[in-house]
Amino acid sequence: MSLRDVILIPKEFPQDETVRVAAACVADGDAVAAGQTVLELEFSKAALELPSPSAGFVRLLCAEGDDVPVGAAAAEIHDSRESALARPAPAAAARPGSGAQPFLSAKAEELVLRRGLDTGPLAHLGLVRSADLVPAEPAPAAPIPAAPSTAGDGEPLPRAKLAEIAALAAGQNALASGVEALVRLPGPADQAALGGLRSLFTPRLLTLLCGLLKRFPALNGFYADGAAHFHPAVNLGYALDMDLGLRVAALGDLDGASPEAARDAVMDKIRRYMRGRLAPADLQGVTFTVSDLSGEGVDSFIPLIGADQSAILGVCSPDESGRARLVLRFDHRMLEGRAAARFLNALKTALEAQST
Amino acid sequence: MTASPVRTKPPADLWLRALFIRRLEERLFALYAEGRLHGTMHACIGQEFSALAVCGQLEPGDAVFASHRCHGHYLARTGDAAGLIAELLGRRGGVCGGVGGSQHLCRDGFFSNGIQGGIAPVCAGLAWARKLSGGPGIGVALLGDGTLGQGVVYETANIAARQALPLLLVVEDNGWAQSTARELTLAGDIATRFDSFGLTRFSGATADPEALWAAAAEAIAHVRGRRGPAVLFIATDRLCPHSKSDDCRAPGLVAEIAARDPLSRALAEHPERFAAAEAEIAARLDALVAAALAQEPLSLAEYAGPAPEPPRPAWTPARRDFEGTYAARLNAALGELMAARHEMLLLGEDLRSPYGGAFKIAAGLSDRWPERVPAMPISEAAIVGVAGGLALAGLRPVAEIMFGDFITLGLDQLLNHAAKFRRMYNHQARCPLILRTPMGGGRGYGPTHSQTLDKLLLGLDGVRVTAANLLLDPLELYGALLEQDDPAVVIEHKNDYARRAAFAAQPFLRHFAFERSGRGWPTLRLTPRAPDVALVTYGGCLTPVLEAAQELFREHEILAEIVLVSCLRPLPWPEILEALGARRVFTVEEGSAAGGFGSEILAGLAESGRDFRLLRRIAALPLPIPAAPALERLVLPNARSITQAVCEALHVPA
Amino acid sequence: MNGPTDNDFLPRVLAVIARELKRDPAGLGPDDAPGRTPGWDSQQHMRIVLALEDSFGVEFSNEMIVQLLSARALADHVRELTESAAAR
Repeated sequence: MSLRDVILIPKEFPQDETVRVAAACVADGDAVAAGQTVLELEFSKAALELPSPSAGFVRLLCAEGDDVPVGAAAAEIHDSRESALARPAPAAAARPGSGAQPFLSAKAEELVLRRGLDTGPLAHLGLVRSADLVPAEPAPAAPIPAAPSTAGDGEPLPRAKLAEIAALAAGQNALASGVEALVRLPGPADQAALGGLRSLFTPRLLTLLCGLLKRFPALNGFYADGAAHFHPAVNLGYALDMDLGLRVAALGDLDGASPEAARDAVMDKIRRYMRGRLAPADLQGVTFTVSDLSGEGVDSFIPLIGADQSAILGVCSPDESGRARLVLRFDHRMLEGRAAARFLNALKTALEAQST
Repeated sequence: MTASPVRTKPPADLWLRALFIRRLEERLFALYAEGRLHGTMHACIGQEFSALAVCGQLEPGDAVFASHRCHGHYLARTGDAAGLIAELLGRRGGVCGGVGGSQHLCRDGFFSNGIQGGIAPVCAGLAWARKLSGGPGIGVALLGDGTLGQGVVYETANIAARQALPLLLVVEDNGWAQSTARELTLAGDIATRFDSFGLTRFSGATADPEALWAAAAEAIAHVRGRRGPAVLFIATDRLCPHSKSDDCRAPGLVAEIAARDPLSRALAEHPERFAAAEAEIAARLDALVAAALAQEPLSLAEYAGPAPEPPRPAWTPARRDFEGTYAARLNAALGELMAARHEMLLLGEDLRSPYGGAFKIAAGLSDRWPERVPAMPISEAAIVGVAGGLALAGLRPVAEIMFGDFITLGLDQLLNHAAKFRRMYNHQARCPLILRTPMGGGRGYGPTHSQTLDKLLLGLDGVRVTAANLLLDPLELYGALLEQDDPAVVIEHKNDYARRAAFAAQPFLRHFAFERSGRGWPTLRLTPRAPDVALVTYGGCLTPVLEAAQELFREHEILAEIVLVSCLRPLPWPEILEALGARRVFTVEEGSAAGGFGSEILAGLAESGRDFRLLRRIAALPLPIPAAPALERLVLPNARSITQAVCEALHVPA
Repeated sequence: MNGPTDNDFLPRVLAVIARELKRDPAGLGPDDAPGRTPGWDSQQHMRIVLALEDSFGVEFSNEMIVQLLSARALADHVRELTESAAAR
């Protein structure tokens, strides 16, 4: 049996334990190219396509309509058609304890511990390597031929956009309000000479934000079912919107980090985003989002609060005097305007205190 | 001329028989001079009466083992002049189809071999078989004075005396060993040297053929009457060159010898007694030579026999767990086989109770079968030789060499005797002897008690070399070896003796399929899903290989399948190739790499035509194995070094 | 050593930049820069940097990205990275 790859069900959303197989796009024994869609999966919040990580011949391990656990193997990629179509070798049948506890390599074990993964779905693999846990380079969700729209006129949107809409909509039950302040952004004095690169000069903004959020937990939580929920830690989200779809990259807690480290964290995500290599892990668990449009020449804009969050900070372009508008949108169910204003002023004060 | 009953007076036609032998030898010289006889020969001209006195007085059930100067012995014993002449002329009608030639004859209990001295313990084994059978047969070994330089002769005398074997050693002392006068090389009084072993001494001389006949009769009767082994010294003269023309003795000396030769004198003094016989003999020889020359030589197909069928792989699940330590399992297996097979013996040093062998493998066995588990002295050459003789006689000896390092002492018996008997005697003999020996280091026993010398055995044609391992039931291995007819070696690993096979419970191995193919000495494959590399090994290396496989996966995410071979020679190629899934193959052995197991495997893989991406041997360093444990660990392969070697080859940081 | 005008990386770098900006390479020169050249904003700057990494097989450090603010500067840096890699 010449197995080349195993495709696992990815964990796209923390709350999903299982995923429904909406459609199988290939049949057993079919030749597939790297990146080609093998299955369409329905997650709780979005429909996504599952691509093959490598070229080869596919063998499906699940069928349309199946509910498959996250982390389980959905398909195999084989070296040859014969191998993909072959019945399991006697070796596999003869293997006692195929229901046995999986045996993990040291790296895989570390990953399991770090991510709190359940090893149950891995049992069928038997011997588990770290690569079995990290889906290899999932392609960003690609647009598929649109299904006919169910009602009315208008051009149907691609699935990816629909998923984006769903994600944004999730945060929009808020009683959203906003406060704004003009801030002199830190950075070299001669901003004109730097053209539109100001967006790369906000590392200090990010580190200060993370520190402040700890003093204003209402801005680092969310409202649900009549209760205020506070995230146990800060995980700063940085909105990336560079014509490859809107993604909010999770930077973690940058409180106390050097500006260089913060900058590197952002640049790392930007690189991954631009190469289409953002993994679910890069997007999960954001508690507060920064949307930086300072390079776009906007005086003001209204950002949308994200799911499981209570606020978002928008950064606008600096004016001729070198001051830029910061827009804080917040969920009034979590805090009042005065508290939001205090937060924004504290941020402005900290930023301006260190400007050159 | 058939063997006559023992009596002290020689038959009336003794001199004519001697004349026949002489004329035949002379005819062979002539054929050589004519270019019709190729190869070499060692004529017995001048010693005919010796051959007749001994070999002319034996029973059909007796065994004779001669060495290179064996024509007279053969003729006296079998009367088969036709076969002898055809053999020397290389024809299919020869005694051994032309395969053996002058020095390697075999027929009806008569054997000869061209290795000086080595024939002695084999003959002792033949004698021992006759003792065990309870019959009246004896073994007669024909040696020269030169043979008394060979150590194994004394090992044989010792064993023969200790075990009271019906063995008669005959020393034909013509004062010359090839070109060397006896006085130059042999010290002391050769006639008395066997006295110290307790062999009864008899003597005679071809100068007095009648007295010699009587002395031989006495010696034969002594041995046949089970009054102990004996030595018969026969003073004689070699009239002819050592072989064809290499006689550098002084011409005067040769003339003296000729002058006192009884047959020459009789021919000179009473030619009329021989005239009729001469004509008859000449005519007979003419006919025999013509008949032989008319024959075709043996074909290669007849000689080689059908090529053995390579095993057809058929994979079935293999057992993972066995009860008890390997030593206990082996001991039980030997006991079961000894009980079932009365022709089975165990020969070795220190096997007797209460010791039961250096590794306790034979514990308790000599209590149950004292005759079949005899005490053997520290004589590896003779142990192997005696076992070879027992096997020739149809018994099933299993000889233990206490440490594999000592196998070199018995290699001549294995290579030049046991491994050759069947083919060089043209399938007229079988020698199913089994040698078992523990090899391997790791206990700090030092350079001469720790070696893995499979490489010395892998090159022996005609020997099946197997290796025991924890996953192979010793009852199956030895049971199968005892059913086949060729010499075999079982390499065990001394570290396996105390180990238990308990693989079912190991969490890592539960994800491996354990399968086997073949009976007796099966090939095993332990396969996980989609392995990256293959580790091919045998025997005691299984344990460090399994440890390395686990470390490779745990620390480096490299997954190895394991192929475990039980038959090292001949290698079961169809099974090995089928077992191998990965394209990167490492062999693991405890011997050094040069000329060993790994080399053979790699050669076969290279010849297979399959596209392997990587082939590497992992082996010990080519240094004597140190006793100091820290050094020994670095010289011999272990789980860590195996892992490192694989990582290095795959360019993975180790 | 070599002056900026001797930099034979410049034409290739300009070709990559032109491709990202969807412009004719003939219309670009060493003084083209983000903020100054139409269409070369911060977003495009990242794109150009990544395209140069792929094209030349080099890797820009994050601090260099914010400092290389002209086509000439980019070409010089690409040359440095390439030469130091070859020297290893």
